[in-house]
Amino acid sequence: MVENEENEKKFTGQEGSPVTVRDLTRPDWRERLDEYTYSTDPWEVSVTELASGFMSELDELSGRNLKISGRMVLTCAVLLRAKAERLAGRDREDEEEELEEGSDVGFWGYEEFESDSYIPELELPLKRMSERAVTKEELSQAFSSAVEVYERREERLETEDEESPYNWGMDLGAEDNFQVKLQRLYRKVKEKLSRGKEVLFSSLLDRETKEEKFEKFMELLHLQSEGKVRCKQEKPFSEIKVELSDEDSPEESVPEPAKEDE
Amino acid sequence: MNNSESRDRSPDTSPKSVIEAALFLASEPVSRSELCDLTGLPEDALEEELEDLRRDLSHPDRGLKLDENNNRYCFKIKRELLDRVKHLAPHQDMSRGVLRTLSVIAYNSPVLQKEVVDIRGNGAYDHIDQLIERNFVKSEKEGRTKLLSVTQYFLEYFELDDLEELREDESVPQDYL
Repeated sequence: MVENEENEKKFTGQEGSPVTVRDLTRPDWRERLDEYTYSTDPWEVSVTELASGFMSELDELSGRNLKISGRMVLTCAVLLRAKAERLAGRDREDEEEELEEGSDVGFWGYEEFESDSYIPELELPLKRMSERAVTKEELSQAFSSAVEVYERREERLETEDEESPYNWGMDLGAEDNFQVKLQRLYRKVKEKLSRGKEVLFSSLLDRETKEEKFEKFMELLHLQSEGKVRCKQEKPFSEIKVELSDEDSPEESVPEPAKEDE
Repeated sequence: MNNSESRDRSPDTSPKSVIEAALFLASEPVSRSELCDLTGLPEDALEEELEDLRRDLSHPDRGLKLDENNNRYCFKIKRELLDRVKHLAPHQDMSRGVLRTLSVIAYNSPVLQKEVVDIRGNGAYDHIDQLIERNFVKSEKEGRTKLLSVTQYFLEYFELDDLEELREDESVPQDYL
């Protein structure tokens, strides 16, 4: 009895006991569990107290070591199973003993069936796999369904194409196209400036969509990096003014008037 | 003891009854050679028995018919009864995907395999193989693809005189014919 109390104490997870909840963090925890489960009567261990010990231990750990919770569940499960098996084994043994004591040979009358010839053979009725032919109507329905599925797939593919990532001017694979776009924009800027207009970023847009704004801005940045234009913005989010860079400005490109003495 | 030895060929069982039992029970059509083996009859005698069975079943009082395809035999419900009893056997003898592929071929026959695959997707290759194996569809080489068309067995299976009978149905999508 004293030993049982000690065992229960060990499994409550209290300090000083040989098997504590903290032991579940050790690498050899499984061996210790097996040793403990099979070397003693599992009915002497209180799973409730062990689980309570675990709960308080968990509070202390504040969930830092999640492996323990899994091991704890397994520990309780192993103990419960060991208890159940022990109990079932005890019951079976008791029943067998009772039968041996209380029955006379021939009393139950089943000894004549001990020979295989007395065991009636069960004949299962053979069942036909019932599959039937397809009807004409089902064939036409199948055709309608096939077309419907096809149309849905096509529609989905079209939508996916439309929703495909926009070319923000970053697709350098299509470099030829991009160069054409740059030249077009550069010509547009020059043309506007040659008419003496002030070129604002907004005046370069056709549709004024988000995508177009981004694309045109990327093109302008490219032109600026190539030294062809210069972009100016007085303050953040204000209009961007586009000018030709000094070397490309119309004034500079105009040939200087020839000196009279030449 | 092998299977054939274990089969009961007692003189009390008539070959026709063995054929009937085999065809009733089998989940797949039974080959002529298997029937010869079961009945112990040579081919010509088996043919006579099958003809006799076919004659019996052709009587209006009978609900079954003897179906032959590529020398394989099975019982089928007579077409005129199928609609009335089909709910009792909800499973068709081909999968939904295979049936859809067959329908695309049937309504467009003859049709290029490529076109069928465009409509039905890559799974159609497997469906087409199954349909050729079951003799519903035949294929001929046509350049780099195949030309698919339905067989005479297809027409017999659906009890059609010709494919126009199928295409007359206005409920099917006419744009895809």
